Amino acid sequence: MQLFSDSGDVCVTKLNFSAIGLDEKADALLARQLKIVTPWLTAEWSMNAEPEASDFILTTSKSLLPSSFQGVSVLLLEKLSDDDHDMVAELPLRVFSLMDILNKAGERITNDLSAIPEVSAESIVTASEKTTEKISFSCAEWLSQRMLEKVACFYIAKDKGASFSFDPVKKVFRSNIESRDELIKLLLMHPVEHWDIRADDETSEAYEFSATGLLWLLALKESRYALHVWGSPNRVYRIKHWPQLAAWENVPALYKLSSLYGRKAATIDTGVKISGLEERHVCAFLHACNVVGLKVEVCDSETADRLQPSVQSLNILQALKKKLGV
Amino acid sequence: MLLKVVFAGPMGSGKSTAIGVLSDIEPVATEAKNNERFKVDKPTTTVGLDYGEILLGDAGKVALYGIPGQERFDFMWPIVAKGAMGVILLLDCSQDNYIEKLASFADTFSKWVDPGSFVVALNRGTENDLEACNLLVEKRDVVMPVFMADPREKDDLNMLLHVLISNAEIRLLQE
Repeated sequence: MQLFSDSGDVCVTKLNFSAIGLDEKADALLARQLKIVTPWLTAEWSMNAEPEASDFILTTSKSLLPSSFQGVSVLLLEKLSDDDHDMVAELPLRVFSLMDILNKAGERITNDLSAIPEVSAESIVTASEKTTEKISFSCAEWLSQRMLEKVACFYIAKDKGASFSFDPVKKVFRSNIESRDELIKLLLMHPVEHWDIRADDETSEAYEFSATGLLWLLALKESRYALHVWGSPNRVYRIKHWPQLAAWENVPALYKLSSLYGRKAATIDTGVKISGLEERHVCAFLHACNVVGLKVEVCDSETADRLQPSVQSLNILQALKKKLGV
Repeated sequence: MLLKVVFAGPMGSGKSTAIGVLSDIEPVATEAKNNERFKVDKPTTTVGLDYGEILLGDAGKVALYGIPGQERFDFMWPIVAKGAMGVILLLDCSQDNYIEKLASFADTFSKWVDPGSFVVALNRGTENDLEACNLLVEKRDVVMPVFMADPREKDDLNMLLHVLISNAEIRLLQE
């Protein structure tokens, strides 16, 4: 399992699995099915020919599992009985069953992790993947909706005593977690369905964080979801308001994206070219703008830029950036 | 190579202060006795131009112009704004009419710079002030960067310049 890239700055959840006991034809079919379901998976899965080195194994018999294997496995059976539990699947394996199995296995594996990967503030844009992120659910969107409805107290992880609440008057989150990055990490690691949500606030939270700032950072990390929702190649987007980058996240590439989508309606592809970020991170930027209410418009076509004489040389801009420490 | 950045804003909004913070040379100021202390209570005000420079070695320099905020000096504005990389409008949200001032300056300066290169910096503002300014800008169907910024803080001013740089880069890259 790989949580970080070689450069150490991207914590993508990469998992692999093996299939044991299937014939060659079923193996090939499985590889094709994996390709089909990949966009809907919560982790980046690949097939591994070596079961001993796999995070997860599909097997037709438990006796076929390598003796050293301590990980998660699913038993593939010709016919299911009522006694069978969730980590059993019926043969032939359907596409949707594979998707369901891999997502369940991914969740189980990542929940078993004792160590949570560190996400530094500096890597907040690139570190936009996390272990329990779902392609069809945005924690940031969900929270922004709850904020509109009522004051609520959320207990994220009972065992860790982590909780936070929303103050609609001051527009802040109060939490007993001291660090904003730590709170975001907890939000991402613990699925909403496991939270304990109460209308009354019984905790004595001490630390305050700007609600929009926290939602912004949270949404920036939901790049899988963002890619799914915003990643249409033909659509063009424009933002109506600038994000408060200095207060929320001071990353140079986000200035470029804000300039681009503020100046004109543009595609995701144009955003990728201008910012040098990956498609999913450009989508995450638009997703974050949307979550914090910066009004992202979907337009019909790319619009022309306003005319203003441009600076004649990039050199002087580079020199100024260097001087400013950008 | 010379870049030009213009600081605009009503009297007392912090233009001279901002140029003083950013400039690598002793700023040139044209201060005179303030005869409008009933409006803004400070002993002197700029009647000509403030001028400072950010020196960039062989690459050139950035000329920083502060234009007088009183509308009777508005004949100077297009002359100074011509060819500027951008305009930074400083507003003090503790002044009663800062929203009207935003409308007035935005309408005037949008003739010479595009909206992305017209950066609004709110001093002593709240999130509500920010929202009110964003709404006013939105009603004009333009997108202007609006930020909270303190003209005494170099980091805040650097961020405003960073926005202008990003806009200039986008313009260059898209040509």
